[in-house]
Amino acid sequence: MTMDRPPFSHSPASKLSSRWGTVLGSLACGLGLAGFLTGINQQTAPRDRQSLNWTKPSEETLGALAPAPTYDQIDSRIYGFNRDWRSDLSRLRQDNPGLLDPVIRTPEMKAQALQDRLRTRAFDTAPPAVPHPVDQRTAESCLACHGNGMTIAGKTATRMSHPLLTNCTQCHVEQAGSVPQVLAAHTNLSNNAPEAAWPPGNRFDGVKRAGPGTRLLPGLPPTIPHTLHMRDDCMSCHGLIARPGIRTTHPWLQNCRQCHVANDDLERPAVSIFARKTDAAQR
Amino acid sequence: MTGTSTRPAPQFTSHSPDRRAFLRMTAMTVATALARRPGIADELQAPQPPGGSDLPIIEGVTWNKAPCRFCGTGCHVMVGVKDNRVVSVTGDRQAEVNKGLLCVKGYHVGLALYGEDRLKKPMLRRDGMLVEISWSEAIDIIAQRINSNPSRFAMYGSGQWTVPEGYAANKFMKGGLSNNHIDPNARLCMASAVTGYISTYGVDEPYNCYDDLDHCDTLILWGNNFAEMHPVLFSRVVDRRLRGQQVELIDLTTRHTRTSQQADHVLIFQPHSDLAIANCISHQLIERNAWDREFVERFCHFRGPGEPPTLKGEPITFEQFRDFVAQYTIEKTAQISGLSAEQLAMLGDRFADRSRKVLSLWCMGMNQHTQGTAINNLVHAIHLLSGHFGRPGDGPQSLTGQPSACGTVREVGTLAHALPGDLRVDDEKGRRIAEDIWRLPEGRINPTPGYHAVLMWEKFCSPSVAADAIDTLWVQVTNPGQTLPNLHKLFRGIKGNKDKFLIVSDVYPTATTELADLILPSAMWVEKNGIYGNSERRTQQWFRMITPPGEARDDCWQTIAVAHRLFELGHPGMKTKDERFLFYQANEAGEEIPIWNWERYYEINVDERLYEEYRAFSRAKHKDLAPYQVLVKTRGLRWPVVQGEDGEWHETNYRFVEGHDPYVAPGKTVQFYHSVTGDDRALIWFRPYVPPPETPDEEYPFWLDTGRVLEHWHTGTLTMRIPTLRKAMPHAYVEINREDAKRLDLRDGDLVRVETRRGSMELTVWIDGRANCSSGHLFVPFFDQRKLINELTLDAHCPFSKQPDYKKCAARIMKVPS
Repeated sequence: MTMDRPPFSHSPASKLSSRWGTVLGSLACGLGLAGFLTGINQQTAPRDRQSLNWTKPSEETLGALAPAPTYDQIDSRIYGFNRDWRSDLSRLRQDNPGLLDPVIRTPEMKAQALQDRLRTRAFDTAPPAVPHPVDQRTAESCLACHGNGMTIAGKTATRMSHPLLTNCTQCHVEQAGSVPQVLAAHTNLSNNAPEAAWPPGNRFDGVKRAGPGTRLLPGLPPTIPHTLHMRDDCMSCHGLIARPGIRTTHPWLQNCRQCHVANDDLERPAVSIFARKTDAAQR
Repeated sequence: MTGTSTRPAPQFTSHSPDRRAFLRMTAMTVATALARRPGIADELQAPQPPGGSDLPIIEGVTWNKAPCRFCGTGCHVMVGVKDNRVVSVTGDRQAEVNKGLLCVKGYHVGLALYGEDRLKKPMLRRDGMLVEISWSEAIDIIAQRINSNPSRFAMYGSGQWTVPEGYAANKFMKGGLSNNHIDPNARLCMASAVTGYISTYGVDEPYNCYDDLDHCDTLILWGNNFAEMHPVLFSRVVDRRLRGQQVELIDLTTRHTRTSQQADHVLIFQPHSDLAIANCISHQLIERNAWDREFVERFCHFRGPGEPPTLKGEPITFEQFRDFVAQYTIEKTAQISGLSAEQLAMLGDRFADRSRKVLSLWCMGMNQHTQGTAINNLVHAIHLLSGHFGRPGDGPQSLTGQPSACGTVREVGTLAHALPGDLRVDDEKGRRIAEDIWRLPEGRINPTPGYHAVLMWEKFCSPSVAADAIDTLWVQVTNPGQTLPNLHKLFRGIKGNKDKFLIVSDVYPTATTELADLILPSAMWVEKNGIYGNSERRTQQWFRMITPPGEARDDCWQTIAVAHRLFELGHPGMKTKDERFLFYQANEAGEEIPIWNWERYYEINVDERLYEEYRAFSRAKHKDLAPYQVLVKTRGLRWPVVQGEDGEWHETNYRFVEGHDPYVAPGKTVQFYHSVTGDDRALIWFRPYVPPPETPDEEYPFWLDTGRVLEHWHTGTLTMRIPTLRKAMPHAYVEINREDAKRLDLRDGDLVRVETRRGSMELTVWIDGRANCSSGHLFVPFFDQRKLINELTLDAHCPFSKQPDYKKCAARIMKVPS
């Protein structure tokens, strides 16, 4: 049997194009294969660490880094990056100066500290008004910040200067009360006082500062020029987180009253402590 | 990472010096020494305060004691004075009441003297305008007015009157003018407590004292917001927990207040149902056989209200009492009151337990009540029935609101029916004693009780053609234009009425001076000598420390000056039977001192003279007061103050209890020596639950409650002029329950109209602001002069005490369209 020609005819033109087609096709396949192989090669080749600008962390840091949790640990592990989160305000990072850091104090700073105290006080021995809005009024909520005092991000919550008392809001009221302000003007004024005359001012001109403490001779410790009533804790005003102008130069000493004695009228005992009992009888 | 800072914890670590630390210390010392030199300051960035940095140092401040001007707690303060000005206030550590602690009002009491619109000159209203006049003209006007018609004159006084002021006014009216129309604002705050005490023990005022606060195991508060209203006493109780003591606080209240926040049990009850709750406790005690049979059989009788109910009531048997209270079962009481059966049983448990010391305290919730006498009777009854009486910490104690409602009103008797020393005008024996001490001819004192407060103002507002009307009314040290209930009826009625003449002695313009015809500027607090008596029977004295501003003068002097002008005009009442001036005072040489001349008033201590005269009355009912000079040396003494064999003056902590009260006969254990029944026994009262006169209905579906806040004293005339206090609580508001607000589509700050049958007021909404209202309740504080909520309140009063009910009336609330 003679070999019949295949069903498709091979004209010289189509023979030429089909040959080229094969060549191109195999070229494409070859390129593809080469690219594939190259790509695989590239992925498996280790990158140079230098090119990533990556320096190996110190052993200390590596040791402190949290190992990544495995999949089955994810639900139960406390994630490393929130390990520093504190739900207790007093354990936040604080900007307290060190106990032995140099204390720089000038008369201007002192005056400013005393002036600053008056921003929340009607006079020197008045309890300070609360300069921030208050939501919670239990003693615990106040003590969270003011029990020990703290300075965070430049804001200071002063430490309570008096012994622990549990009804904070009986003395410390909000400086701007949280009663919602009237949105509409008063339309039902029941008295004749024009709005402009209300409220009347107050001309009270009270004691604005205590002191200064006196020294008999230069270099001696100054006397305490203010009452100690409600001011049992010296560190509250004179300690590390206190206003810089009245900060003590020696906060590491804790027994303040061995050197500083009270020289305020309210602190003097009502009776002469050196009078003998017999003297009283003789009078 | 452990800690983010390597610095040592501040202040608390003990510091063992090591080499590094030593070097740092040395370096620091050097650095500090360098830093102190000027020049370093330039490099420092200290913020500039406004107004510069200069603060004057005030030296030479003199300190003196005084009781606080404000509430009935009677804290003592130390007042710092320099150059005739108060410059500082601090707590008085020597005072037993407060031991150096004050509340925010007390700390700022010095500022109350210095409001800019302080009244300084007498002013007369002519043709609608206030014109300044002289004192002699003012005194003459008043005297002429009284002289023309003495029986149509009335005086409205105050629980903030000092003892000598109240005494002078009482003597002037009752002993001089034979006019009993003198009644105080304390009628609006303590009258029910007074009638409660008198009908139970036969004599007024608490038998106990603040020592109870230090010893109680369970403290039950009956409708008073203790934490805001008597903050120093509240602290005294809750601070015990710091010392490890267990104090149980049970708050019986109609809304959840600051007190409730610190309470162990908060029992929110329906308004007025305290009557049922109290009876339920008595019922439980009897049902469980837990009442103190021995105590009751030895020291008590049972009493019923009688038909019709009277103050004196009628004797009943134990069986009758038992049957009366048996109606108040736990189930029925739970229904009336809204408390649960467990809560009611818990109350019963506390009283049934004799091992616990149970202290009951109350104030306005029980007194400002249309059944005020009844509920007072019932709380005393529970304590007497259960035997919780007599031991420190164990008993019923009524708290007083005003600084001298006890000392002046109740003890000096500046009430329409009373005389000093707990005597009565309608009792002949009492009149004789008064006429004797006052050296008056027999029959001078009028036996008919005068008008009580609500009636007095009704008569003042009613037309003058009525035979029994009042035409001239003198108000001292109080602000009825803001505090009377139902203001449109009881106060506004005088507006425009030319026949009426209102005289007001006060320190600032108030809602009352708005309608006054004659305004007299008065001295205040430490601008005059004074004596106050606080809630625990403690009489406290103070000396004048500064002079009053302008031409302000003491209220006591004003009364004496008017009395003398009447004496000059020939009014017979101004003479004693020795033909002397009613307020005759002589010096050591025996010459009369014209104390009606202001220039000579302070030549002697008029306070001391009047007080020593008044002291004689105090022995009538064994309320002996200490001599003035003894009070000077102390921070007050609790009467009866009796001089012992050692010459010392001893105060009494607990009356009627042997060992504490010197007047209790030996062996008597407990002796109610002024007993109603005359046999040394107290009365255990039954009073039924009577519904309030006005309850919420379809038209007015809310309860309206009024009251106070920590920052403001009464009508705010003093405290609204103190910047710290005003800024902390700047204006009135209406407190509404969160669910109700949601339902009515109200938010914080919305303007709403609150209406009752008597008036209407626009107020700001504050949801769950200071306290949490129950659903269906509204609360409005009354301190704001611009929001006179008493235009809305009801003037219905207790039938026996005549004290109105500010806590309950029916109201509605609606949003004001913007």
